[in-house]
Amino acid sequence: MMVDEQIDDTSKTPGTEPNRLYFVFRDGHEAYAVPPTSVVEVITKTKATPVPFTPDWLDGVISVRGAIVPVLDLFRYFRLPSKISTRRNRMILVGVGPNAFAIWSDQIVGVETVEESRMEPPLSNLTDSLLKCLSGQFRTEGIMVYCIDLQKLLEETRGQVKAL
Amino acid sequence: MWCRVRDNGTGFFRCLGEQGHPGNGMRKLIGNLSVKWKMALATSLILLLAVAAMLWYFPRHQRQALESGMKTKVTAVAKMISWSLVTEMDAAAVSMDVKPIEEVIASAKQDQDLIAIRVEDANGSRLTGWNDEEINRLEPSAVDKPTQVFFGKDTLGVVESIAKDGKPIGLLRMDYSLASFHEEDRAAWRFGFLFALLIFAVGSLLAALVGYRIVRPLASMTSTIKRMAGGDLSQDPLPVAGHDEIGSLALAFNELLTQMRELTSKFNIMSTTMDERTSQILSTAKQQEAGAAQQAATVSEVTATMEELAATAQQIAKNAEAVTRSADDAANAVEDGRDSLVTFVQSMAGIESGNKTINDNIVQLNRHVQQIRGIIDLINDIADRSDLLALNAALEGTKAGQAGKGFLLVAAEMRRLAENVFSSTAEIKQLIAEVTEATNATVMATESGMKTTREGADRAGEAEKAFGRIIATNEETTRASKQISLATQQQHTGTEQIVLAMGEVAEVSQKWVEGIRDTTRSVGELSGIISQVKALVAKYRISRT
Repeated sequence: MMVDEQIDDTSKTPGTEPNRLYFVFRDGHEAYAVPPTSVVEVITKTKATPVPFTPDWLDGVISVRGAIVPVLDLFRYFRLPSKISTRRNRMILVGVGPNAFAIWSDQIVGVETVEESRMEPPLSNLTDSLLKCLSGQFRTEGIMVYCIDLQKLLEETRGQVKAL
Repeated sequence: MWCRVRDNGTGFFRCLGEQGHPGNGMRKLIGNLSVKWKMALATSLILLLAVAAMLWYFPRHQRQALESGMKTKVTAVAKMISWSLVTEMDAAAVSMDVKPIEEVIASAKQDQDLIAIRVEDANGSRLTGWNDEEINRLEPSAVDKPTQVFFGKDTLGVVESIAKDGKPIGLLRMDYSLASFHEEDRAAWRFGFLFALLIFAVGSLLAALVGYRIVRPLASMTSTIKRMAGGDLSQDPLPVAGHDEIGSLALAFNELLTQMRELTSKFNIMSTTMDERTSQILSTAKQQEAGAAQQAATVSEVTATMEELAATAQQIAKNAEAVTRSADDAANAVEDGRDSLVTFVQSMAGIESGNKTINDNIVQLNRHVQQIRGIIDLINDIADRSDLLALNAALEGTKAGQAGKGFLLVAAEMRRLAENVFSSTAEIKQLIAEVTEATNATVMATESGMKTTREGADRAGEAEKAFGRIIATNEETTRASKQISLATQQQHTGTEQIVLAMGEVAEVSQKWVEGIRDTTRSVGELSGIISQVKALVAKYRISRT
């Protein structure tokens, strides 16, 4: 199932803008949004087994119900300037097609409905790696939420791992 | 009193003033004359007498010598002529020729002094003569001696009898002029007078010279002595001329001057030294006076202090009695205190055991609290799992779309419940933390309290021992204070005796002060006398500087 963006049913009513559903979570200072349909499940933090000859943003692999899932550290991958959050207690298991990977989070905000008008164009002052995987952004309660294109992220990460 | 009457630089006439005797004017005048003039006067007098004697004796003797010479001369001449005339007379008597006689007379006329000559025969008749009209007017015609000489006023007459064989045959008369004789006599007188005058003058001059030689050192000595009397001892020594009395006097005077100078110098030094010594004595005496006065003051102070001491001793005796009483009281009080302390120690033991129970209970409580914390953690875990479950359920509900909407609401409610549980457990955790803290503090406090109680009990034990020592000390104090009381009583008696003795000392020192004051006064007077002596000595200048 390849669903990038799921249109909320309520947005189908005529005369109104189409609304989008996002699964919003936080990691440190940053807040990210992914489509709820790509989220397999949320699990408690699990010790990752390191994999040799991998980039530093790949923490290792975990086993979820018999499946081996790599753990991606977005913070390291996007090369953010602040420190890694110490309150990380959740892992979000996302699935892109047959591929699945886990992302660190220290707070799950929940599923949020975002009107199209709230979407902002990508900022030009972001890092290359973040900009490449970004489908847009919006603000909620004054915090900038980056909408991540999981397909692009997967391709980019795969490309980088292969380049090693 | 000596007074100078006249001083023209040549000598002094002095008068004795009222001390002189009124009846002795001449003696006074002579006495007042200068020695020089006295000597000159005496010498002049002697010379005058000598000259007078000379003038009286020598011309007379000269005249006599002249007369004798004249007599001898005329006698010789008369004899010679008479001898010449003997033969002529005989011839004349025979021949009556007088011519040969005239020739003899002519030869005799060669003597210029002869003024008249006459030859007479035995009868006295004039045979011949020359200028014989006035001859021998004074002499008698009779001649008893072969040769007679008569001195007249201006003439000298000679009568010579002409004898042949002892028989007078004629008479020769001659007159000689005394003009030359008088002339010689006058010349002798003149010479004698001039000689006397010369002697007088020379004698006077010598006398004046000798007088001057004598008087000059005396005058110089007089002025020197006057200056010495005026205080100037820095005189040059007198010149010593010769070894006579004047020289000896000058020597003696010089020695006197030297000795006076030495004496004055020594006296000066001595008076200075005496002045210094008396000053020192005076200052020392004054210091002594001050010291004695201070001593007297100190003695009175000491007396006062001793009296105070006596009073203090009395007070101490009283105080010692009071101390004895107080010590007795204290002994009783300490006994009571020891009893109380024993009770206190027992109470402390009770407190310690109570504290121990409290501590045990609190430890128990703490264990329960820890158990509660475990339960809370379990609840928290369950809430977390519930939250995760609700979240995943909500995700599933979202994925289900419209069908899962009701489920979504339930899941949301479940999440809120879980969050409530989270906040409650967080509060409980906070409370548990506070309780743990409080119990820990209590445990520590009770432990500290137990420790303090133990220490208190130890201290109380020590205090009990100290009380025992206090009781012993108190007994000693009582004994000592009794001894002090006795000793101070004795001290009181002793100090009273000292006070009496100090009174006597004060009297003696007062007398001493008076004595030193008298000494100071006497030394002051002595100092004044020495100053006067010094002033007197200072009048005598011993050097020209």
